Amino acid sequence: MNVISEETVSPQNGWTGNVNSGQVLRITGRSVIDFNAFKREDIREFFDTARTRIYNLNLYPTKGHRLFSKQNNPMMRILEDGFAGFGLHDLQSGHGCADGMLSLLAPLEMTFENLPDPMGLFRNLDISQEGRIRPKPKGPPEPVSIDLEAEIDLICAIMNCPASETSASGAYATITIFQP
Amino acid sequence: MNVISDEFVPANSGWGAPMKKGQVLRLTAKTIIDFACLNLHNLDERFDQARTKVYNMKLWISTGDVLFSKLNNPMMTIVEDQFAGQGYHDLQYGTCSGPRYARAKEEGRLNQYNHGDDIPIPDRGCWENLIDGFSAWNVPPELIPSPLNIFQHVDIDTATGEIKHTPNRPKDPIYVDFRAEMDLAVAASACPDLAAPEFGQPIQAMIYEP
Repeated sequence: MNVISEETVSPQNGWTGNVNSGQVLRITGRSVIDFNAFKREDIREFFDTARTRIYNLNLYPTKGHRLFSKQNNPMMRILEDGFAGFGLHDLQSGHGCADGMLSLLAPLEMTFENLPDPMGLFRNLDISQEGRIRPKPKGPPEPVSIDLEAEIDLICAIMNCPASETSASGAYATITIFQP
Repeated sequence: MNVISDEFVPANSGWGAPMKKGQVLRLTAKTIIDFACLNLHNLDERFDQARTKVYNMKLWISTGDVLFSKLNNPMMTIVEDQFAGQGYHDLQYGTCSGPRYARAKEEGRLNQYNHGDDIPIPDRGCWENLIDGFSAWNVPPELIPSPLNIFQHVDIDTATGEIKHTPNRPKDPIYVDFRAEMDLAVAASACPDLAAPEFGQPIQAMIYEP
């Protein structure tokens, strides 16, 4: 694979950048990371948790699923999910660290009210069959990766959330873009 | 009770109205109603599925539970839920829409609605209907909130995450009552509801002072 960029992101910091159609975004970490994506040619089209759940007919995004926009178009495909077996990514909770994400998205003139709900990577929840939701921190012992292939040209934003009582403690993350 | 308004909403259309804090909205139907609300004095403050689930710490809400805004303020309280015991309202789905149905047909997934592969698809759905319902307040399409999907009973296996459409709907029209906790703009869509036994039906929207 041809690595285009690779950056390390400390807890409570974030990363934003372009991912072109066909490129793969690899996010490596072991604590909660909020992920948002916008269509580059029109940022009014953005990743949407509800569309994604219902397109995949599943609560938990994982390998083989696609990330969908509010306008119901495919944005990314999950090629690999190293968190599988350790825990489940979250599409229920909304933001874990919105302030940081808003700073990252300042160039898009994003406001808190309009900030789309993120995919909460590595944020494991315990959801009972009766629908009760409880945080259940369950980070993997070593960093693992999720690989997201862009299906259109995107602006992606990643916030490495700080440690809290309801997530595994803040850990370094690595953001890699490569051409497979 | 003092009825402020009581309106018939035809199948696959939208409805909206302002309402005052303390008033109650009664939505009556036997098929899905997609419902959302805005703070009348700050239209950027909108109903939020995620805040509502996390505040109530559950996937499904019913009598006594509170609808929350993205800004984490209480917007409405469910004061009566006649669907309780028969099924749950949904907080996983976005809205159906013309393009959504077109994609399902193109991908050969119409059988997910339990009526086989060969069903006529509507050219509009709840997204377009909620845009209409909120038309007095000019909400851009991409900012229409993911709604509370009333009477949309969905099977969810929380272990695997698998979600399934079901035909579980009220046998006869029943209602849910929501008390406004702030002045609101509310909108409802009479969903085309392809998974319902007889597809989408009209709804009734009443606002009253208790």
